[in-house]
Amino acid sequence: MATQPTSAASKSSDILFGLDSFGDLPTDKNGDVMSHAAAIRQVVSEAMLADKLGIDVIALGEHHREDFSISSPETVLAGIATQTSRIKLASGVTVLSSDDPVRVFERFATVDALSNGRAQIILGRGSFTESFPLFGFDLRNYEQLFEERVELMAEVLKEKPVTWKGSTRAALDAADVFPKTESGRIHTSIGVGGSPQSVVRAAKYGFPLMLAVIGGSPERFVPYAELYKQAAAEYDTSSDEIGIHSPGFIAETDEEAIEIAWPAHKINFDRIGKSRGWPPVRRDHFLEEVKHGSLYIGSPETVAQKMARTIKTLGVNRFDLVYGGGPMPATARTRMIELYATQVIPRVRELLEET
Amino acid sequence: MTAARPTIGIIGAGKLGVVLAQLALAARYEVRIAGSGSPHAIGLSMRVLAPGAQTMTTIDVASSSDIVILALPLRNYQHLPVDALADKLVIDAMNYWWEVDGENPALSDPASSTSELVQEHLHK
Repeated sequence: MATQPTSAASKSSDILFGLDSFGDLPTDKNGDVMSHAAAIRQVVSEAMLADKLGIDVIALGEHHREDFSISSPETVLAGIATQTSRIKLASGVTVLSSDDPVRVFERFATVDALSNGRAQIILGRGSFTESFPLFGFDLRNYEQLFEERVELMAEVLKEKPVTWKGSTRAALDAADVFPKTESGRIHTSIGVGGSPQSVVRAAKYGFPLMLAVIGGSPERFVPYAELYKQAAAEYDTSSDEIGIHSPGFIAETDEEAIEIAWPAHKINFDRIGKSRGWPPVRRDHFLEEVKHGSLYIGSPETVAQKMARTIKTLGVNRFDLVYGGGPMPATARTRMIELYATQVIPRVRELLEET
Repeated sequence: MTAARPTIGIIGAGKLGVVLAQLALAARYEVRIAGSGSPHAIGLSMRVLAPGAQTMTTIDVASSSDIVILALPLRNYQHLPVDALADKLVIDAMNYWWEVDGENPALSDPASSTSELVQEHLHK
């Protein structure tokens, strides 16, 4: 039996709304798939639009595969930083298991300087495996790599000289790391996909929690939010910030949204499934996910209703909607961002105020 | 609950082990579960995610349950407590994932399933 969630957010105005991308390659006006370079520039222009329309966060996640253009999120965020003024600039996620905490800090502290304090890091263990052989790590050690690197990251984020010793990287002896940020702290969360150990680890180090819910009913994650709160109470850390990251697409009507999202979704997941041994995605399964699962696809009203329900059920105070999964027309992505900012977000706030 | 209802042991407290524990508890089975570390390490997770499941060491789960489900990474199968599992019904839910299990021709051989290897190991 699920435990009752205690709402972390007190007011609907406290809830943050984000847009997440992995830099999927969109199609241009001729229907041709864009190059990696053009796809990266597309994300920068989308982030500028999101900033102008008042969306709270843009989060860019790291992949090392042909179908995604973003392998270095913070470089793209640096590009966005000098072209925007309000939007928070997050990774989603930084695969810390195959990255170095000191370098991660240096890169995000640089983005933080360029953006006047808007940089955020979301750390993850990574659900893809390509980065391990690419950077010379043994995937068999992924749990130990992540554990050690989270521990070191928590130290480096204090922005004081660090003394640390572990087995996956050289020891540090009173090492000071630069540039220092103006606020003294880069906002850093841990993204988890359902591993209880990761939830407990986030609480142990006092990191905010981002739940990646990419399939099935969001209600299944209620106990994970509860585990985070109980673990935080045990470690005497804060559990105030819990967010969710789920994929979606918005168009004028439900039918239009489904007709645009389905072919792109199928190409996207069949390609990943091929290397992971999943069967091809079926349309009825996709429609089931749209109806009852974790695909937030439809008209602004449909998506807003579904988002509000999830926010209430899980008691989260941040919702990051992953947009543009698969080769989708760039114009449809732009339109989605407009609808998200001008119709969906205000409507979700309204729905949350009603109860 | 009838006395004849078997107790279910789960070795592995990751995503799969937790879901199996939840389902078995919901079906009113007695559940014992072990992670890779000490029972204490998974205590809080199980109290919240699968309340009612008893956390134990791997060897205690194996020796005290009627049915034992293997839900650990396949590469660890040779460390299973063979003696404690003797005469038990063992259900193998492990799959070969070369990226974490390492390249192993014995595990990827299409002529035999990995469960046959596990069975052979337990019959030693």
